[in-house]
Amino acid sequence: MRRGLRALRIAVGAAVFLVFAFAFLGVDAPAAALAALLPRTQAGPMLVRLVGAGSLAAALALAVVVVVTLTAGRLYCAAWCPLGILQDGVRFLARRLPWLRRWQDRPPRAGWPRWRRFIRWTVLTAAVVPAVLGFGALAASLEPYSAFGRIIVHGAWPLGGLARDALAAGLERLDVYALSGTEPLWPPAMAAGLMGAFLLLVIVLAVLGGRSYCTTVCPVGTVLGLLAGAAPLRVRVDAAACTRCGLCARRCRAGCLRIEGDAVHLEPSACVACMDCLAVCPAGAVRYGLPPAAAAPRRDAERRELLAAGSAAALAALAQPVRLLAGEHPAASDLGPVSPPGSGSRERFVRSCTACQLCVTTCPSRVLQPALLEYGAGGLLQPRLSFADGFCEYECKRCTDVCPTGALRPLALAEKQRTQLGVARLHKTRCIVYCRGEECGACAEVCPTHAVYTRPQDGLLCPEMAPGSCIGCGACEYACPESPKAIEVLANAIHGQAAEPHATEVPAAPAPPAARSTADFPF
Amino acid sequence: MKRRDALKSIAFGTVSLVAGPTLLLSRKSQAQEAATTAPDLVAVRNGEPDVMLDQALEALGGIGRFVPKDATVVVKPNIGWAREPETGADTNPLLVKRLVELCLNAGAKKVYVFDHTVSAGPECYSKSGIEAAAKAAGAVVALADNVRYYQAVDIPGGVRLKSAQVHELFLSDAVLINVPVLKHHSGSKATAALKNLMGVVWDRQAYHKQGLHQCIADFCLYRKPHLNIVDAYRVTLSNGPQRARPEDVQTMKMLLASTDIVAADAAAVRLLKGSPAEVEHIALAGAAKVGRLDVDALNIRRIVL
Repeated sequence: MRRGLRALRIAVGAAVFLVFAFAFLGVDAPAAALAALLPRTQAGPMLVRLVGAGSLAAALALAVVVVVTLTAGRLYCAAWCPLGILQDGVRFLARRLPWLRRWQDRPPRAGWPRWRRFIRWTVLTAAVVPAVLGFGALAASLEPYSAFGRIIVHGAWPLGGLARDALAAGLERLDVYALSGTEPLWPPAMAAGLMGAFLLLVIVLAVLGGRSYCTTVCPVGTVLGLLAGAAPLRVRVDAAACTRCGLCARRCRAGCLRIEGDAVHLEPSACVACMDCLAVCPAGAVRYGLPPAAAAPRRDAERRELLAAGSAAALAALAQPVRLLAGEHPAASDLGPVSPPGSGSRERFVRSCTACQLCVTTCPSRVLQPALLEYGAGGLLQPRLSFADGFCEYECKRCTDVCPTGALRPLALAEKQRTQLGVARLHKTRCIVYCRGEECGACAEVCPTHAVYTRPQDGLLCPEMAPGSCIGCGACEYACPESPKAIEVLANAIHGQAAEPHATEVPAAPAPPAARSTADFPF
Repeated sequence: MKRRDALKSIAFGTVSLVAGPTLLLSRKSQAQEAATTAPDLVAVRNGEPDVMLDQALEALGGIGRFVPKDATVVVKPNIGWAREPETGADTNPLLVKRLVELCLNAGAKKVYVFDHTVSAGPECYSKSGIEAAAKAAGAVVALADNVRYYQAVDIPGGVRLKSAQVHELFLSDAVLINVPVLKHHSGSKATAALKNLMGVVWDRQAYHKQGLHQCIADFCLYRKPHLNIVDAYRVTLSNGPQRARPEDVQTMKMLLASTDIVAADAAAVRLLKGSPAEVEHIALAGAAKVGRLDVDALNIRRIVL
């Protein structure tokens, strides 16, 4: 039983981790299904979705996390958070080195340090308050699900993509074209650098302090820790059976167990329910369960934390109307980045995207790329449409299907096909047809709505624009062979509604009567 | 019958009588004979795509003329767009299916089907119905949306296109069967057999940049398909090549087949509103002696079902 709980945590955690990694790594159909489902069980994105879109499903998912944590502690952190599981993996590997293992298992200092409490509440406040005010970059960088997404997409994807390419090439020698040929996604250097710095922090913390990130930095962990303080189901030490050997405290990956003299202390807000202590106790004195008799009195520290959380929430709630009053009203179309379908407006998008990169990895055309400072510092690594890398496929709406935070609202395909992300501008002074007098038509050929079409003139087919029908998909810009591009999309800061597709010619003549003799052939 | 024609027939008949039995001894010579007697172009009308293909190939001397036993065949349809078969934006899947079946029945060891799509590869392969149809018939549906499948080759005598990155399957010594769909095209006026070969190169943008029509014509100096089958079952007459409205598409129920890629195109575009001289790449390919432009002088077999 005691070992069983730990084994169960490891098994569930490993399964969840693999499924998450697969959802982020694959562009094939099963991965797409997972990508649409799993992130919707994650606390961070569900909170954003609940606040931003008032989603009932998000409320339900959050309620499950809250109720589980209130009754049974941070089980979510133990086996459902991919970043938490990643840290366990790092720790597991680090423990293969005997000297690191010895260092990790040194006796802990007394007491749950105050500085940790101070850091976690400071970080939470510093992340959440600006996020409510409209600057979510810090919250998004620390939110564990999104951070995990970036680690996979900006780190593992390129490496995994190479391996995948090699595997695909091997299979293709056997004429098995089982893996789609889409090229690996290479993140911009800055995205890779930021991800690398964060990953390094997580690795160092995991090697030196186990789940330190979860107990001291993670904003989701801090909130769940607060809830876990009230949980009746928790790790408990039977003082009578305990020999005070201190093995549990040495092994504790959250640093939440302490033996001080004759007393055994457990900090429930920090315990990530890893169940290591249960497995390691030689006396069998540690158990996970309900209190033996009367519940312990609520401690002052918890009350103070509750108070702090309450005031932070109140502040945030107060800030909301202030922000709306002072709300910016961006120009209809400008030189800024083109935001993905379903985002509605750039402003709304920047506020509700946590830059988890799920849409980026799901996009079949690679047009979605993490922004650097195009959206401003608050929109760091949020996806934008990059027409140097691809164009938005007319028949696809996968990004809107997978977005867990509601930053991209799900759109019906017909609705997406009329959503105007921007409008193309044709520069005839650069266009091959006008400048060289040679046919090209690369833009008109790919335009899904005939917003750019060709008109016969002097024996040539010359491009023209019907801007009302343009949806800003960027197919024309991507296809244009000129540099600088002779056709470019200007973003709509607030997405518009495009007119019906443009039709360039009168319908063809009705079909001639079926040929009955060979004389009816035109040759 | 004119006197000269009569003399020709007699001479041909005599040669056939003498040479026939010996030629029939080997498949190869059978194929040679078919090649000498077959028409330059076959045009079939009023049938379903698969039935018209059967008829056309029979008129050309049978599939065995092109596909020897144990041959590897590469079928190159137009799968450029993620559109349903009814739209006529891609080659008819039933036609591809029948062609694959015929190749395998003729003893082909393997039949590959691929296209370097314009829209996202997986979407085009599935939505066009071609992937499912080709697989059902036993073909290997190969991918083309990654640069690793392509190798750079020089185009001997190319006027504008001096080199191109070409799909490895097209570089192999396989039997190449080009199966375009006939469409109006907003960039090049028309697309059929010649333009369909843009789907075996990686960098299409280079064509547009260097001169679309000349590059299309130049590519044939590198390699020509052994057989061209133009799908004119559903023909886009306006607003092509990919987003035509239903009223732009005419169900013409036709199919053209020829070993001559220029002749196939020159005849096919007569079904559109235009003539070969107006579609520049056909004229350029004709001028470069890639094939015959003189449709009216061709030996055409016309079949009405």
